[in-house]
Amino acid sequence: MLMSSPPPPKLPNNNYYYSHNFTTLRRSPRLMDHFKKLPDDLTFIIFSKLKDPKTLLRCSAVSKHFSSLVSDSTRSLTLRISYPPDVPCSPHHHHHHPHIPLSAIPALMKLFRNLKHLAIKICLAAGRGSSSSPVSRRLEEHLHDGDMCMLNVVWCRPHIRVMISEACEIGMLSSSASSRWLRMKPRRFHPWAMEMNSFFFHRVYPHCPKNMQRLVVSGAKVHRAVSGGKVFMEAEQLNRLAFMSPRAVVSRGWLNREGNVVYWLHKNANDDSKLEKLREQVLLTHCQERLLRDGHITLRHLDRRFVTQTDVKEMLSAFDSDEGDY
Amino acid sequence: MSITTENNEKMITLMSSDGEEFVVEEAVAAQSQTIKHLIEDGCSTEGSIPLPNVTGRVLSEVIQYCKKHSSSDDKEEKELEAWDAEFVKAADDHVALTDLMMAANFLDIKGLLDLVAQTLANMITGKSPEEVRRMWNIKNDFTPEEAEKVRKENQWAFE
Repeated sequence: MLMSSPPPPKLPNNNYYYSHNFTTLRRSPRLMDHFKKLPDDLTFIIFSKLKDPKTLLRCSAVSKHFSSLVSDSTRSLTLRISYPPDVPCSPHHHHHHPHIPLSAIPALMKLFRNLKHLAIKICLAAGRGSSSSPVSRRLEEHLHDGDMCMLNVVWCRPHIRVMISEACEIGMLSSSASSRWLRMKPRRFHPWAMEMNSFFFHRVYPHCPKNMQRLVVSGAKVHRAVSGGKVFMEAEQLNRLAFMSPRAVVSRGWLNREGNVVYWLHKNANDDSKLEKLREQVLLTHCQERLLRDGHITLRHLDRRFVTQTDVKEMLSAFDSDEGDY
Repeated sequence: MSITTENNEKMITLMSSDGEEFVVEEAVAAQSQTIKHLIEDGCSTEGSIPLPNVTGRVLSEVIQYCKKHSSSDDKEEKELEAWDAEFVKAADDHVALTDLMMAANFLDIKGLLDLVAQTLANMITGKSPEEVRRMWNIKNDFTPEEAEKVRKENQWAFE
């Protein structure tokens, strides 16, 4: 179509070429459309809908103008990084959501200078046929299926608050009178989960853009749950449950009663299986708040506080967004 | 000009940039905040509302969207989602979608703007910089040295 008119001998730039051929193009409205510019405000909207950091980076390499639009429009971002950092995940897994090499963080933070919310999702490489590294092996040993840990860093200038939420699976709860506990293992929160999260925090924090508001680092060892749902309980609530009369029945009503559990995540939203026996995964959970001093998370607990339903929901939402495929 | 139908629905006439006229119910046209404000200001009483930025081809698509969305209530959310997906599929390429997005932006129809923006965002996901340049005819103004630097800093994203 364009070839029908001979191009001018010299092409200083594209614009010159198009303006030269303007009269020819006007005859075909369809062709004319191709040269319509994408206005900045629309580009901005499209970029803010892009969730994939890889595509955003590629867009920033399109032109200088696009690069500045990418920088301005990206306010929140989710990055997936594997742990241990240099152990790649299986190619199949990688295909679904690309993992960011740890070394890319400084350049990324420089480009996304308007970033306010950053979520780092840790993908455990352990148990994916790559457990040759000692770190992988230790992870395998210490972290159990179902364990989750979330570091929630909130800038309330001049202070920076660090909220740590953890949950670890301790057993299964059943409603059958004969065996309330199907399985119960003594567990405590292992420092490994927290270590892993703060490892990433300390590598990202120094590069954070100046208007950063929130950084969430989350890591979980998710497995395909066989149980009904998930019951989140604090240590004290678990104690109370343990001392309940053996004849007392843990029913749906009991789980729904305020104070008995922090949060009960039903597997089925529609409660049509009321008669079905309970078979719930029980997770011990706790929350603590710490301060950040000189870029380091202080060891002293700022506040011992009760875990709320909101805390648990927030923690779950950090893991839910990609169909549990970690 | 405002005509009234049997079921007492007020009709509005919209005129595209290429002179095509569309008679639609007021509730349908009012999905566009821009038109809604024009109606409120009394612009619809003196004949048709001119829309100088929207061609007839695009306007007919926009009206199709507004009709569907003004007649469905919240209960039909799933069905509406499926309809939306078919709707953007029918627009077939990024050129038609860009036109549609410009119209949605000018007419201030948030639902349509979000829908088309998301579709275009999905469309460029995974594309190379060169492919994106070709889509909207964007000139690469990086010097070879600058381009090399961008690539080097973020090597992983270009593999």
